[in-house]
Amino acid sequence: MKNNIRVERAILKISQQELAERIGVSRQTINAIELEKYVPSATVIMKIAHIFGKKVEDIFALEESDWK
Amino acid sequence: MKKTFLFPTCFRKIGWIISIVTLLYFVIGVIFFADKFDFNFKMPAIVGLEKIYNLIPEKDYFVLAKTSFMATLFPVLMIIGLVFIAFSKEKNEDEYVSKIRERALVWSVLVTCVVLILAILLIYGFDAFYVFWFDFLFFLLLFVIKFRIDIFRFNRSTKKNEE
Repeated sequence: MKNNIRVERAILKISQQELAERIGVSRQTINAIELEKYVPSATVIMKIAHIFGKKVEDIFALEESDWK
Repeated sequence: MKKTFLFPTCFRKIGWIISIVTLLYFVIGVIFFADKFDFNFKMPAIVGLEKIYNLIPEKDYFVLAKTSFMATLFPVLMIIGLVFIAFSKEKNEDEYVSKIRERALVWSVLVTCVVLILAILLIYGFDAFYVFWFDFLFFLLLFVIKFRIDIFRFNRSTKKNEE
């Protein structure tokens, strides 16, 4: 699953640490999500969208491989 | 959502202390004192081998059974120590750490099963009795090593990708 968290974070000017604290996960986890090494749970996805004030689909997008 | 039970973070240190002290006692005992370090004592048991009428001891129930450090204390202390290390919360415990733990758990169960099958096939006689609890200790040890390595990599990967 692709995401543009890094871009959204840059727009809001918040660090990985700040975002992690607001969501309630570790900074390492935010880093893993940004690097697309880890697809978070629905709860975390919804929290991220809520913080950025956007729809989930505006931040996360399915890839071809996710359907296989 | 209901969270999986884990011991508090401080239990990991307690686990390390219990495991290392037990292991050191065992290693130093084997190297310097041969069999003498393995002391005997009695434990209240549900099933024991107390009454020896024939060549083969008979089973007896609810007795004080004679046992030794290696047969009782060593596995119990090692299991307690390793369980505390393996199943304590991380400082930065969250869903990704749970994922890493789950992967390490599956990996170590599979490796342990292979080792157990080989041990069952290749070890017979009285030594076969020890295979099962040694294998369980091996599983815990394997899980601790795999999980700690993965967590170390996880923490290091972030440092490489500073914002």
